[in-house]
Amino acid sequence: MKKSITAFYVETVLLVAAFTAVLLILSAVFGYARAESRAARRLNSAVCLAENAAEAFAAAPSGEGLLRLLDEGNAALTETADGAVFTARYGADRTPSPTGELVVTVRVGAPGNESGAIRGEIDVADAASGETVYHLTTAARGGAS
Amino acid sequence: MKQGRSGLGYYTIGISALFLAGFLMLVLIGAGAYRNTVESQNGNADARALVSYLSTCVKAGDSEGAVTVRDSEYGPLLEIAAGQSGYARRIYVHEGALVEDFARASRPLSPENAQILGKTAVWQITERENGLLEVKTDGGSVLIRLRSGR
Amino acid sequence: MKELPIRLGPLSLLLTVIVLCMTTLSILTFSTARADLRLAEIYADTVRTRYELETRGQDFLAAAERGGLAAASPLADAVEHDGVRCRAAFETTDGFRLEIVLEQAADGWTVREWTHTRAWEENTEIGNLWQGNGETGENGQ
Repeated sequence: MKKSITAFYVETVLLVAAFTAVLLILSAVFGYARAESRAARRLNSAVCLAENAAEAFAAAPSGEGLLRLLDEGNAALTETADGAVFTARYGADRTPSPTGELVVTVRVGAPGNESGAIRGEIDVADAASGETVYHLTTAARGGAS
Repeated sequence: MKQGRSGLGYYTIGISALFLAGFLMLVLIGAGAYRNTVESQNGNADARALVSYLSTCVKAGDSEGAVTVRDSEYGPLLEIAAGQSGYARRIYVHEGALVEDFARASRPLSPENAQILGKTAVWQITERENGLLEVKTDGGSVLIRLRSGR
Repeated sequence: MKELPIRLGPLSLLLTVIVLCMTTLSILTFSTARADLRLAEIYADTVRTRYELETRGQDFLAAAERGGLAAASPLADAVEHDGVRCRAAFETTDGFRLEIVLEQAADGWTVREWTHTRAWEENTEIGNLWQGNGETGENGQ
C-alpha cells in the first residue's frame, strides 16, 4: 500500500515538473512571437514614415520646406554646422504625435559632391531607446521649383 | 484511514487544479498572442496594400501628364496612363473598397470588373506643392511626388 | 491493497492533449510572426533600393545641369541621347530599374519621365505536368 502511495506521489511530482517545463517553454515561444510581431509592425511603420519624408524632401529639399509639409504640431527644425536637421514624432500607427514612439530625423545636406544634388539622410528611430529602426538615403534636385 | 484517504484526495485535487489553472493561463496567453499576431499581420498587409502599392503604381507610371487626379461618379479617381497606349490604370473607391482596373482611359468606370485592393472608408487625394500628392486611406497617409514635368 | 482515490491516467491524457494543441498553436503563432517580419524586411529593402536609384538619378540630373551630359554619363548604367531627349537607366543586380527621360530646355533639363520598375520574368516552368499535347494525340487525330 505504502509502495503504491509513494509511486503515486512520485508520479505527480514528475507530472508537475514535466508540465511546468512545457508551460515555460510555450510561454517563451509566445513571448518571442509577440516580440517579432511588434518588430514587424514597427519596421513597417518606420518604412512608411521614411518614404513619406523622402517624398516630402523631393518636393522641398530644405528644412523649412519639410517643416511646411510635414509639421502637424509634432515637428522641429534645428540648424547645425552640417545643415538643417528636421525631426518629427509619430505614434505607432503613423499619426503625428508630439509624444509618439517613432522619431523621424531628416538631415538635409549641403549640395556637396561633384553633382550638386542635395542629400537627405533619413532615420527613423525608437523614441525611448534611440535605436535606429530604419535608415534611408535620398537626394533631390537643388532648388526644386 | 479515512483521513489519510481524504488527505491524498485533497492533494490530488490540488495538483489537478494547479495543472488546469496553469494550462488555462497558457491557453489564454496563447490565444491572445495568436490573435494579436494575426491582427498585426493583417494591419501590416493592409498598410502595404493601400499605401505602398499606390506609391509603387504611381512611381512606375510617372511620365509627364500620365498621372492625373480627377473627380468621378465614385469620388476621387487616380488615373495612371500606360504610356501612349490609350489604356490607363484607374484607382478609386467603390462601396468601401479601394478598387483598380486597367482599361481604355475613355471607357466608363466599371467597379464590378475592378480588382479589390483593400477595404477603406477614407479615400482622399490632395495636391500639395510642387507635384506632391497626399493620398489618405484607412492604411494611413502616403506622400507621392511626381518628378516628371518639372 | 487499497485503491488510490483518483487515477492520474485520464488527467495526464487530457493534459497531454492540451500540450499538443498549445504546441501547435505556438508554432503557428511563431511562424506567422516570423513571416510578417520577413515581409516587412523585404518591403524595407525594396524602398531602400528604390531610393538608392533615386539618389543616382538625381546625381545624374544635377551633373547634367552643371556640366552637361558628358559629365553626367558616367553616373548612369546606360545613356542614349538623340540631340533633344536623353534617356538614362539605372539598375541594380536584383532587377530594380530607374528610367529617366530628360529634354533639353533653355534653362537646363526638364524631366519627361521618371519611372521606377522592377524586372519580372514569368515563370514558365510548370513542373512535371502533362502539357496536354502528347505524341498519341498528334497521330491519333
